[in-house]
Amino acid sequence: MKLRGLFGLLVMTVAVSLLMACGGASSVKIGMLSPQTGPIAQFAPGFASAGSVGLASINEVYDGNFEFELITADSGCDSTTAATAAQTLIDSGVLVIVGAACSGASTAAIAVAAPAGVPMISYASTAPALTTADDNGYFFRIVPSDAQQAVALTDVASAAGVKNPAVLYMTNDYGAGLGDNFISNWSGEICTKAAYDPAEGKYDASALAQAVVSGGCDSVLLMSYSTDGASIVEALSAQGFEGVMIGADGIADANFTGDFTDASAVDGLIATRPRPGKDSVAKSKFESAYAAADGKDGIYTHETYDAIKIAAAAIASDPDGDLRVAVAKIGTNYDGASGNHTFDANGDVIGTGYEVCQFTGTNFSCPRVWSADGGLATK
Amino acid sequence: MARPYHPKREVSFGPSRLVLNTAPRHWLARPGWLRALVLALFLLVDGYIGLIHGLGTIVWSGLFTSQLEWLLLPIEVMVGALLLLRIILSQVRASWKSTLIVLTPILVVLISFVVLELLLTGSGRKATIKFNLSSVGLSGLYWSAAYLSVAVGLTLTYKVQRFANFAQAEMVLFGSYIALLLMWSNRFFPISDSPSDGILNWELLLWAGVSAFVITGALGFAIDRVVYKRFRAKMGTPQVMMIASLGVSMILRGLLYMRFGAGTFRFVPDRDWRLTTSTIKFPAEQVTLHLGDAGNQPLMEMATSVSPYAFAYSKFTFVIGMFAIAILLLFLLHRTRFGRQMRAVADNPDLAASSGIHVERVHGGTAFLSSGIAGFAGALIAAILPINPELGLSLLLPAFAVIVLGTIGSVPGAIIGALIVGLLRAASEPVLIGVGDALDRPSASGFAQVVPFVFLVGLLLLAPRGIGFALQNWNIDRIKKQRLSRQNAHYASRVKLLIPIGRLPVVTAPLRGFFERANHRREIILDWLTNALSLFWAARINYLAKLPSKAKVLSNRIVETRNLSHIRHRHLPRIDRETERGSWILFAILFLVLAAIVFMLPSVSSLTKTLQVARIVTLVGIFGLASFSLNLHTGITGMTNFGVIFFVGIGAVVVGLLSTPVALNGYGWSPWTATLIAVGISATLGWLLAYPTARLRMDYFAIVTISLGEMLRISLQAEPLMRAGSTLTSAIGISQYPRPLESWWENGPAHRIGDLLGLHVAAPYVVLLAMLAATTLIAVWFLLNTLLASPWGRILRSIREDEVVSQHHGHNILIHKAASLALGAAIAALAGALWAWLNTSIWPDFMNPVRTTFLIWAAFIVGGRGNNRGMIIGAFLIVIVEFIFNVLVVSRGSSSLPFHGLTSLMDSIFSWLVTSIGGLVWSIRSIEAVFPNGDVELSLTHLKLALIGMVIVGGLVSSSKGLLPEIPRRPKHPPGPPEDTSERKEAA
Repeated sequence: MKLRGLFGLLVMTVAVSLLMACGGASSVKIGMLSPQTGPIAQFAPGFASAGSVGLASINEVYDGNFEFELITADSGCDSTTAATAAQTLIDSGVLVIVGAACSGASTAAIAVAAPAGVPMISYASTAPALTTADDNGYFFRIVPSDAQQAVALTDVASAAGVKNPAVLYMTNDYGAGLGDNFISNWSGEICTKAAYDPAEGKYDASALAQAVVSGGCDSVLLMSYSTDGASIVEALSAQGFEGVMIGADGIADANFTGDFTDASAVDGLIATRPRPGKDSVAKSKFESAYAAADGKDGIYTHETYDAIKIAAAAIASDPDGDLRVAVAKIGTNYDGASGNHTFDANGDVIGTGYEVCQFTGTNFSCPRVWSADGGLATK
Repeated sequence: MARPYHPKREVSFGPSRLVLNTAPRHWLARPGWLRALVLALFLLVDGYIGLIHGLGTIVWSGLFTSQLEWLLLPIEVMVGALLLLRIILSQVRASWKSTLIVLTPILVVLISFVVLELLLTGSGRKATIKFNLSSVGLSGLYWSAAYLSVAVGLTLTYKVQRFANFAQAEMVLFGSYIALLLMWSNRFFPISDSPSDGILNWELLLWAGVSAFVITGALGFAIDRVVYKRFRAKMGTPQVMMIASLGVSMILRGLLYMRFGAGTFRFVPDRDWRLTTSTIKFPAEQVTLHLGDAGNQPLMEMATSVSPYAFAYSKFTFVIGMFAIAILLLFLLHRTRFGRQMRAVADNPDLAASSGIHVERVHGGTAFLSSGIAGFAGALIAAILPINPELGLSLLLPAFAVIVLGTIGSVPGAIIGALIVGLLRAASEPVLIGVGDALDRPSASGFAQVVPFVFLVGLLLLAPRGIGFALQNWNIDRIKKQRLSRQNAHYASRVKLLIPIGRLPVVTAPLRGFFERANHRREIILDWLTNALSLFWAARINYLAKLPSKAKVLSNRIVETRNLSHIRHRHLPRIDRETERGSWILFAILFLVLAAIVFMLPSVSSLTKTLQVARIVTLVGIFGLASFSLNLHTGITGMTNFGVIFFVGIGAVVVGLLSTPVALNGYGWSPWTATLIAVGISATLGWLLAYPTARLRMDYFAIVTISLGEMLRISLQAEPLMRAGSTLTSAIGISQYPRPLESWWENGPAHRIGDLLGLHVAAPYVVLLAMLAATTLIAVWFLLNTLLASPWGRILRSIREDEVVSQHHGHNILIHKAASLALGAAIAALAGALWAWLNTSIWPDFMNPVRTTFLIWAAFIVGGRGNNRGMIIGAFLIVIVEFIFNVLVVSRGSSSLPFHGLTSLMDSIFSWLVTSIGGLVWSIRSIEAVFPNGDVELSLTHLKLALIGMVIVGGLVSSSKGLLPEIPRRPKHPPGPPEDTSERKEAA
């Protein structure tokens, strides 16, 4: 029994070493950390689709000069999983890592990537702690800070004539960041504040909606992802809520209606999202490619695509140099699918403001924009 | 269940115990409850004056910041009140006790309101709590049904098969996905896809419910045959079966992920089911509570003019369906033959078997029923919630709370428990929103999901055996009284009937004579039988004495050769996993093999290889320490601890919070002091945990510990005091804390060691961390081995083997359990500190109980319970498995990476399985809904999950002792003369 087990182990070791010996021609590898397991695993298919669209795009742009490969590993939403995955990516020779999604995953992964000299470009980590993290300049992110979007939401709410809003937000760093910042920015009254865990089976959308209705709130500020956001909007409509609904970038997407069975509930919803560049060619290009690839609905897919494009451009500009510098240089006034981006010294993007979108019926349009200096304006 | 009543058993030991306990010599020897009463009153008064007047020990001590004071004071009052309640419960007359226990949930809720009122009054704040009665009631029913969907099967399995089945949540999911597959099938898709016509179509929903019941039931039956039957055959302990069920749940979840992906899907039985107008409107009344404002506003206000509450048809169906099936199950259990058989097996399987019940069939039937009910619930719940494979886990832990509350194994208990927990969950949300508003904690409502656990822990301290037990006692009392009164009535009536007969002595006289004669004859027969037996006995002894001498010679020879072989055997050193030397040898071999795998893991440069090895060493140190802690609690002392991650988390959180700079909302202590304090706090908590939980059964202890971990995780999400590392208190997580010796390392040894390793740059900090982790691991290992070889280790093992016996031998079990908990907690806190330094930040998700706790459990089981060497191998193994699978996962991305060919091969096999083989069962639509453009790709991450599950199940089935089993510590038999043994054998 014991000997057999040992023999098996030995055979396995030999097999492992033999398999490892084989290897092919080298190419340029970009790593990607995706939350394939854990609480936000439902968005991983979207990230994966955006990743493959991005890969196809960069291989088309740099055809002949570079052959890029995108290597994906599971970061979970968990520091340890993410750091181990980052280590494996680095071991397989990636030059830049795109990711991770959850802020905890990103902070742990950068602690592995920075000593190895591999820059990371996150497409979804919004925690303020990442701004000042000890990353030696290797950490970048394409998502703007929550604090700024909270200001935008405040202006949007005031413009909508809101007096007594309810604030519903998720108990994760994204939701809490937006929610708490909105609450501290809002000068008027707040009728109800409720936090919930967006995992299905952990919140009751009807009870949240009823709290809003029976509190007599005239409007709702919703800091959510798309699936839970849809459930709450549906529940609000079912409870007979008729006030203004305002959401953030988790739901500001034409595909949001796909999460509804009864899409009529979405009518009148206002939502903000990072403003795209002046000519939104990148955006429309990405969206058509994404649709052609049968990509799943999701959040931060535009950011994922941009992160891969920036990584490839940085590698192409200076394949052997310090990639930190190259990424920072490419990421200056970069017109991407998710907006116009410039990295500051901390690796954060200085947003160019937000666009304010709305659903009329089930039609989605973004007629207004918001910027830090100019406030709300019509496009 | 009608349990026979034995009045004699209950009083038998009473008087003698009383004699032992009386005769107090001085005050300390007074009854324990008196001392506890003084403590309770002190806590109440101290906490009260602290809250209202700012006096008392907590305030005077000056140890805490004002925020912490406001946190500790209510806890103090709460503990005092619960203690008082417990004393009342223990001292009250037995006839009142059951009633009181059944009332405790209400009392606990009332106490919490009083404490809240005190807190708000003391801090000068006002809270308005708005209860919408319809919303709370209906939402509560919905939660009850949701928890019941997992809890019914859980408690049924527990009742009959006697283990906690973690795979129950996956069974619910399985049912949901069957409903989805039906929806995507060609037969039903037109129904689901048709536009709304204003008429509810039941066809698909009914089909989904029935087929989910049957198919999931069949799956449960099959799993029972393949896995659990083997454990029953080997008399596997409930603990082993529980861990096996954990493995099964990982396999099922992995398979579901692989087939259906991680995305969410909605089950639409017919579009009309899911319209926002498809609701029943319930008129609503609103009750407003004003807390902390006693002088100005009434405590309670009613308002009726609020908008009605809309309850969706799908939820209505779910609630009705769930409670109906639970009541049907009750009917089955109590009114049918199979139900009686199930109860018989639950009470005593051997006795049931001896009275002709096919026990295996009952087990199979139970597995079918419990899984089938879960599957049915899954189909119904899919019509309400978006489905993804994580959903089951959201329901599993509260379901455990439900069945513990209602007493494990009791179906009516589970129903009542689900109702209590569900209503409480729904009612807590408005309370938390209102109070959170008043206390500047807008995210307080995030705590709603731990309310079931907090409540459960509080209640278990009062009624250690759950409400169901009290209910059952109460029921027994009632039935007893009924019987007694009925008997009396019966007696009286019979006496009345007998009166005319008594008047006929003519008839009775000959009868009496007959009985007398019969009695006489019986004595004669008995005498005769006894004589016959003794005669036979004598004859047998004579026969044995006169055995033919040849046979005796032959038997002597056999004995001689046996002895010879025995002697020869003894000369050879016995090398076996269960001897000291064999265990060491196997440990060395396994360790070297694992180290060789580490050496062979691919990497691109010496720098990345150094990072990789250092990371592996650190992780082995962390998981090894956590496994040591688990081994001490569970493997050595025998307390099933599912809360390792709680102690690890306390370690990490305290280190992080205390050492973060003051400017970033931390306390700015040095990492070393912070670690010392963290270890101290964790050990204290471990020690304190022993007092309330010592009386709990093993399973209840497990649930309490797992709840503690969950509470800490949610606190990290929702409590501002548990955040640091940013100037904003809104930022969840703890980060930016210094790591020990970081600047010393970077200014000196880093460069030297970097040169030594040939890195050409300074060695990264993780190398130092690896050295720290390895040193800590070895030091703790040495310490533990010394301690466990001491008499104390023997006492702990004796507690594990039999608590009563070790108590009988004069050991104070409570103290030893507390010491074991404290030591283990301290070790776990060290692991937590190392973990905090490795990850550089602490986020709620790192304490995910399902991931981390069970990973440590896997290391513990696979490594070998009770053997610390096994813990190291187990920890090493789980770390390496993660790395090996990651190598597989990343190989898909590039043809130049090792295993690329293997993953493409696996992809094509999987694609063939899903499209060609699976295509026979499901429609193309169901494949295209999951995989973009119908390109089927195997998710290696989830294959890893399933494979780890298979390793756990397979390992347990083949040998439930693990790789390096505990070495039995028996005194060596003195080598007696061979004649002795031969004689003994002959006599036998």
